[in-house]
Amino acid sequence: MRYKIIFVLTFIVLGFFTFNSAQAQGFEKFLRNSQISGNFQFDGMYYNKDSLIGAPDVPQKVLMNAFANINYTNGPFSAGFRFENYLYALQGYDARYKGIGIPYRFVSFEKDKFTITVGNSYDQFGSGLVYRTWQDPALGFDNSLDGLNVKVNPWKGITIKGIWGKQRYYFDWGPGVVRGADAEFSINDIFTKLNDKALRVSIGGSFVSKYQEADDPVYKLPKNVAAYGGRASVSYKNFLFNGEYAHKINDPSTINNRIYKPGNATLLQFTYAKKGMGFYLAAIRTDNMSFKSDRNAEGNDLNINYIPSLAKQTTYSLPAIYTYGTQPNGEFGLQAQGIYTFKKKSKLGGKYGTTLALTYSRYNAIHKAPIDENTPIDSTGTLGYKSDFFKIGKNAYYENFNFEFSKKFSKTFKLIVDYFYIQYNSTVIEGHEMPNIHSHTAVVDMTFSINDKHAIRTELQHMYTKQGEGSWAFGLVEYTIAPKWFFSVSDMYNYGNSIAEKRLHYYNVATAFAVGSTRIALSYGRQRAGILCVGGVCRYVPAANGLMLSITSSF
Amino acid sequence: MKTKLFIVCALLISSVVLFFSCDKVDAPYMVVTDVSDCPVPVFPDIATPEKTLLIEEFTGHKCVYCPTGAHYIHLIKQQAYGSRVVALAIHSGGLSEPEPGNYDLDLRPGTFGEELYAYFGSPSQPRAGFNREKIDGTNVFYGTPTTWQTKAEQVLAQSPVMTLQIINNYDSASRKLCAHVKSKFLSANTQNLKIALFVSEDSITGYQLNNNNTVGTTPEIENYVFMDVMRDAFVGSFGEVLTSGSVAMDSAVVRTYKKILDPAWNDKHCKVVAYVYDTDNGVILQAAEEKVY
Repeated sequence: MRYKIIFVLTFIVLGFFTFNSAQAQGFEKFLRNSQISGNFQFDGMYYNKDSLIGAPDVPQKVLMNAFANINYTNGPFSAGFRFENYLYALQGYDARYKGIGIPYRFVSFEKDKFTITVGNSYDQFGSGLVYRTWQDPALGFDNSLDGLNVKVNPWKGITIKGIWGKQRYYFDWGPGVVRGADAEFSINDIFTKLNDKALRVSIGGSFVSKYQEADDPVYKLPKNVAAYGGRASVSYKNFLFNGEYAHKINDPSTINNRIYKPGNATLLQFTYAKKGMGFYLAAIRTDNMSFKSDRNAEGNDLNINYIPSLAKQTTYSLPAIYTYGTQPNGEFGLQAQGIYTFKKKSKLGGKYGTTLALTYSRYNAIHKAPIDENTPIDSTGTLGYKSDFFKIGKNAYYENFNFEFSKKFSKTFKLIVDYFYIQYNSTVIEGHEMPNIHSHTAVVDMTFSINDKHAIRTELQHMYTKQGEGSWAFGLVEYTIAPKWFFSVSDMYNYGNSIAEKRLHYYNVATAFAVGSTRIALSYGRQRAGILCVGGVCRYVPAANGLMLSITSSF
Repeated sequence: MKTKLFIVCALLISSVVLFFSCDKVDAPYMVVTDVSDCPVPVFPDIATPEKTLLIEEFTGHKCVYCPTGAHYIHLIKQQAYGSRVVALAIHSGGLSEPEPGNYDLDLRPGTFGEELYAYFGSPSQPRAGFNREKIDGTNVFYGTPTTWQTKAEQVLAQSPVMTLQIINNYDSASRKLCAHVKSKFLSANTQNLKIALFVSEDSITGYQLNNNNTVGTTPEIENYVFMDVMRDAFVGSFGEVLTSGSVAMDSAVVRTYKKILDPAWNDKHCKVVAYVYDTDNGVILQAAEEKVY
């Protein structure tokens, strides 16, 4: 028996080395074209109970989130997966992220103008008003579609997409099936005579339908709910205009209090840009436009579409306390932004140039009126309300005025000064019933480059407000030894809290070490309870006190 | 060229198929239940109408403060006016979600609890409402269970504007429940009113997190007895229109509702809870409860 095994193995090995040269070349080419890439992230935290800030006792003491993406490509073929590990998930992440698994995997290939993906995919139709699947580990958000994603370019300038599948729901799938198609036509690319024209036009249209079983003893529920939209983009020299309109048929859900009113969304964006100067104006109106593949889903679960946020986003800690989260049941928002850079070596520009930026954004409710005199607004099992498209609701949700001055004074010193005025409707955005917050925040951000390797950055921030938790002060010092070391110390002090016992310090000390594409960061401190928003999508971040370890790596 | 034509045709057909993949629902949007097999009984007269109070409590079995809340509701029901108090424990939010292991019990009432919880701003738990009155002028739901009894007494001190009676006819073999509700106005009324009706269940046992050793073991109570657990709704989370416009004094409205009780519920511990509320300000005017058996 043993000799028989040796004989077979010898035959296989000989066969491997003696297959013909064409096969050998093919195999060599296969190996040469093969590429494996990926990244890894680990975030773990040891929690201390801190009753002063409201940080609870965590039974597991140590929690962690980790994932690794592994991707393989070989010419037109690609495949990949993401391994995720939550044992258990960090505080603030949904408890349904629990366990270990591979909730994301795909195989994709391109052939004859087709790109076919099976498995999980992320994609977007237009600006996402009817369909967008995406992922953000910081938000704990992932609504990838598991199924089919087919893209075809039958002619130059024409792109057609089709999707069909179920959405990821933590380590499971949502109950609904999502089907959809999108077509985009670049007029200048289709007609060769228009190829070189300065005026460039593209138009597109999308249609997405979801199916979910409906067996409700109380409500007559639609099993199939569709949303569709059209869009246009026109550019001429330095000007660019984008417009998109989407409509959704009756979609009674937990989010909209089971009303049967159709939804709609309109997004208009205008941009003017030239060297040293830019202007952006945008407006959005959404009306009952939450679109999920489960009518009973809440929060950020199983979103099919995406409503962009026009609110200014900032990384500075104090103004970020009051960040806007989009309101899918209805909002009217606008943003105007201007940026100007004084030329280098001019009077105001100095040696390195000076940049000024102004941003104003505002959100209000949409107008709502009762459907008749006997039915209150938003009554379940009715059409909900009537809304005049051109009327703006009186309830202000959010307002942000920001002025930013940025200047590099010398090779060793750079200064950024910011002022923010924010009006924040906590009742609407966070669901806490309290008076609107009006805050004024000043930020001074200074970077001192000692030499090519050593730099110190400081942030001084102050927020003045009489509402909410009152005024705050913030200070940060970062010391970087490029390219490997990083140290920082910061403190957020809620000195203006009307309750003396809550005038607390939220201190943090951190260090990081980078080697190649791997970075290890360690921090210790307090985390204030609040919300974290990215692009208008938010998650609650509870108060925490502890030691955090983060490792990121890519290859 | 043939390939391109084929692609275009395939896409057109797909678009047509997708386009018809939508169901437009016409009014009425709520299912009308046939109650012809529920004969309406005769309601006895109420000699002395009294104000009743509904305590709605948002709670969850993983909420460490919630046993304290339930304890204070229990104390309120033991007072002399306890018979005028109706309680509904609405298990809702993340702290009521079941999970494998000891906390696999799902006490959430379908989507109804979440709808109500979301409607009232998903407050921290426990939170209780007292006829949805803004007792402090601002809030509808209140934390700090030690203050609940005072709030209950404030609301109960009001005069009733109507009476609410429930008569249940229940067939244990088929588990068919006919609930008849009579609303009678003690004075002329011009409010826009809705009536909401729920099934609740008592004496369900399971694990409950707890941080108060005066009400049970900490950090958890193994055989915690859940009372007044909202199980289901007859007419959605927000009920249906009872009256709109003028209603004369002594006029009455009798409504009949029907439901087949879930076999998972102990029908001997089930009750029907009804309340009438003003749709303009949300305040509950009167509440009632009646055992199924």
